[in-house]
Amino acid sequence: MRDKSEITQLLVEVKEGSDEAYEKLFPLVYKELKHIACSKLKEERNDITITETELVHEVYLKMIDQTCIEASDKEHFMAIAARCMRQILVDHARKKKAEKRGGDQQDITYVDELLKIKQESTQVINLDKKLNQLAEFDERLADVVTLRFFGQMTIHQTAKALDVSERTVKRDWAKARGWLYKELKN
Amino acid sequence: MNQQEWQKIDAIIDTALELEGDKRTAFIDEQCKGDEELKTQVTELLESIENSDTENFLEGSAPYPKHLAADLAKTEDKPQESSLIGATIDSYRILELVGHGGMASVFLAERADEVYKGKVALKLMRQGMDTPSNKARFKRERNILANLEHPNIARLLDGGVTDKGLPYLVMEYVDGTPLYTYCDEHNLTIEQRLDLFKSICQAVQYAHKNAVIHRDLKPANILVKEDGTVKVLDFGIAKLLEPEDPDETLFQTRTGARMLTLGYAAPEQINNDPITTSTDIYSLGVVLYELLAAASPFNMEGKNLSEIESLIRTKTPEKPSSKYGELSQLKQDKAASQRVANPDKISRKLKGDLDAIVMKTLRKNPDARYSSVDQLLQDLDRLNNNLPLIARKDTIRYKISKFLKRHKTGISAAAGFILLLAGFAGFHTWQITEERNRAQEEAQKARTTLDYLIGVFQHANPNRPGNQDITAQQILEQGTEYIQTKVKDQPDIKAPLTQSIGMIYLHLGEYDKAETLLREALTLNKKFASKESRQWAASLNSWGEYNMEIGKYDTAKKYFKKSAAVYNSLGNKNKYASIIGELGWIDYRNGDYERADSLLRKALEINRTVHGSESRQAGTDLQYLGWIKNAQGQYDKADSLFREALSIRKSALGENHRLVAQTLQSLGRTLYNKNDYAKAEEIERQALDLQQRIYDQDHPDIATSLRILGLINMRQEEFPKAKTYFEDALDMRLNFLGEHHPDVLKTQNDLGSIHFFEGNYMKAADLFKQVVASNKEVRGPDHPEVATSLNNLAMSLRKADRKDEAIEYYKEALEIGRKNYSEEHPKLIQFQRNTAILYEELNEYQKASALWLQNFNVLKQKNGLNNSDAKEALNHLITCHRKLGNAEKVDKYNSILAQTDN
Repeated sequence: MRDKSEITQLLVEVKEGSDEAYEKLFPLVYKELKHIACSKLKEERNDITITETELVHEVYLKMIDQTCIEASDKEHFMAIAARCMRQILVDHARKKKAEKRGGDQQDITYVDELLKIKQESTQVINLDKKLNQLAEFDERLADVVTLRFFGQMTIHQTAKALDVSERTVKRDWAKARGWLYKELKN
Repeated sequence: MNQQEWQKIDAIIDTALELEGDKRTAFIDEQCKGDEELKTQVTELLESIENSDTENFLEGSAPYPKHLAADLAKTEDKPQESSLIGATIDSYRILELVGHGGMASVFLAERADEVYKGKVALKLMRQGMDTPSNKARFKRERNILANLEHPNIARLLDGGVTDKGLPYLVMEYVDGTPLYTYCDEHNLTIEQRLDLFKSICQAVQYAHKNAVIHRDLKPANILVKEDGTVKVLDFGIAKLLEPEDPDETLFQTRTGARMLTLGYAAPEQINNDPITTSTDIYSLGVVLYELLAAASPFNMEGKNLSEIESLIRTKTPEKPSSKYGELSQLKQDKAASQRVANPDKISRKLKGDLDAIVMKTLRKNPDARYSSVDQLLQDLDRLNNNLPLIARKDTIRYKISKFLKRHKTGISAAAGFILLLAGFAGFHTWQITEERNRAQEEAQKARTTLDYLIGVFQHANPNRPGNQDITAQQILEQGTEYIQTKVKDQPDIKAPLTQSIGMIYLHLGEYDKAETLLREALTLNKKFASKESRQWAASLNSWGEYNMEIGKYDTAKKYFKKSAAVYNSLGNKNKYASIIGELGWIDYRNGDYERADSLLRKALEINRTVHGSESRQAGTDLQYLGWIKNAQGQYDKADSLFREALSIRKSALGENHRLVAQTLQSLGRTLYNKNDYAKAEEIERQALDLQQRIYDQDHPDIATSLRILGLINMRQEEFPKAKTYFEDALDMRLNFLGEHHPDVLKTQNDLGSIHFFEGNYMKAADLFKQVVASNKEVRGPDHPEVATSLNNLAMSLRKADRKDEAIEYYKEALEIGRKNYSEEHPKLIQFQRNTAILYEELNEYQKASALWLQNFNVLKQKNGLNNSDAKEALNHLITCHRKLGNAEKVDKYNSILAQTDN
């Protein structure tokens, strides 16, 4: 991993609106988040108690130099992590779907878990597809969903990260959810 | 939707969300004045916003894909493990990764210093063995295991701890097949399965005598070598890895239990009670259960961990014979044929003694099971000699029936009298047990219903985030249960509910469940619904659809017809046309092309009026009509029908639609039939590319394209390439459709053809014989495909120089061909040509000449005198008559030959 201060600098640039910095930071966070998620989940194994927010917090502590940054920048980081998480899950779901079916079902210890993974893969892929469509005519709506759902961020955190009012986030969240509901449930 | 459209809607929604009731309606009416479409979009979105809110859509902890997230961890292990390949652990060189389980990875390895020659299996644990006391115990236990020497036990050769603290074990490498797979692949009878099972028992018995309990017996740990020797793997490994002091955390005791394969775990393992030799007896019982009944004692599908645990703890499994009897007909047939018997025979064999033996091994209380594996073995031996079993020693009636069987002759009237009395006593005891079981069952059901209702209420309650982790699968299952118990006396509610759930299962591809429910809905509707109602029509239609899905076309047809009649009388043109279309498709599949053609023309006419001539529905009918023409050998007509369907589908559905790919696929197929291979391959690749873009995994349509590409390559004599296409297609089809589906037979036939072309004639003949037999069974003895497979079989036998056998099959093929094809059909011409050539080889010139004459007349008529096939027939005709000494005929045909070019 790169130097903490370097990454922290990138985050500051992202906050100031640099696309270039964003392009650099995204893959770094992706990698670190996946790494931490994997080792965390491995420890926990059957009993997954760890939450999204805890994961992101840990990545944040590991990657960002706390002394050179304002507390409010954390939300910007969380937003990037949320987008990474979406990508990680979608990538994994695709991989799962591509795996061949079959095998002796009784021979697998976690029967119930497997079934759920199958269903969740389909859900995640469908949601991702619809979010891309949504982003074509209203990018912010899609982003709100990514932060709220994949990043499990609160209304307050989302508002800070996107630099809009909480009222706007609430309204966007309602509209985006309604649209997705219409597309996915009908 | 584009941005401008959205901005309009967005602005209206924002204000509307602030308004309520009439104010909102008025506002929307005013904003959308004169723009109905805008109004619909706004109203629909507002509705969805409200629904998504009440349902907590995307909120709460339940919807987060946490299982998928958790699965990440496991996947990430793999690269690490495979990076070990080529590395050395102590004195073992790792060759390849052969297995990957929850606790360990298994590698194929060899000794680097060549002290021990040959391959070994190296099992590397995931978890560390840090403490000195654990390490010492690991060594101690390992030494005990290393002393196990039995022909049916895979030996432990060595073991140690890597420098990273990971324990590993080195075992005899067994190149074998897992137990069930071996039995099914070799079609072992019940008796042969029991013999194998006895070898397993002997291995376990030997280990028990040496104070070793296996603890994790399951089919994956039982391999059978090609010579039929059984090897049980991993004896005592589970114990070896358990920490002495549970707090020393290799894994928590609780987790330890979960590490087991739950399907084979005994109740005491779930409860963390002491493990004894009896635990192995229970697991052996589960293995025996599945070997016999082709199903496991508990249905764990769709259940979560705690439900499965409670099943194992409390539910008495059904007897193997009852379980087998409850499987779907398809499964029963399959299992029976894998056991070389019919379903009745299997049920009879299981009932009684075998049921009793299995049930005794599966008792919840370890003390109630066999007291040793020896006892179990004794009972299995007694089976053959009709001696009374330990498992059934309690019933007097049973003992006497054994006595009677042993002394079939010479039973006196007095013995008969005793039997009557004793039998009565036995019956009484049996009845009491049965009643108690029933009471327990009722209690269980009531509990499940209650659980279901609670679940539903929790979901419906908007104030409660969806923390009850319930899956669609569970809702369906519990919904089914609910219908069976709560509304069982209200057929008017029960029938449509049952049917709806049945249809969901059908669309999910869960045919067994769909069958049960749809059949029940049909029975109920038959009794209670009006025979002129939509409900009755829908029920008939559903049952038709189910049968269509599983390939039972005749039954499907029967019900579609009835349903179509009802819809027609109700004036529902739309439904009527779509069912007529399905009926046409079935006739097409059954080879009744004339009727199929007229049905589809009728459907096309209705659909053109109802939906328009450029509609999706019209496209479908044209597609089917193309298939029919293709099957009738009218390839030019098929070609133009497909092109018409293609342009309609492209404009009605867009370029990237599944059905566009389907039409491309069919067009490729027709071009192939027209022998235009270059064009065919190009179009077919287009179809395949499109499909691979549309589906991100295996799909039946992809299998079809692969098969056609195989055919094209086969025809161009690219055999290895063709073989690969066929094998891929067959793999997918077996996966999706099961063994007896017509499409699977076709692909098997293709592979047979490749063997033929590669010169493996007897291998080809064997495959074709299978295809003929299955074809007759699946499609009926007179189906055109039967003729094709007979023709192929005959060709192979002829090439293998078994001409007398071959000619019989040719005759049969011809007979069926004549029933199905017009005399100018290319297939029939082909059959006649092949048969005639063989007749010549057998010196039967009279018979040969008759066939050549028929071919010549048809070909001349169709293609003219100069057609090469016509000329070939003519030349053969002359040869035959020369051999027969018919100088007059020879002259006559020679003069015709003179009229042709060259």
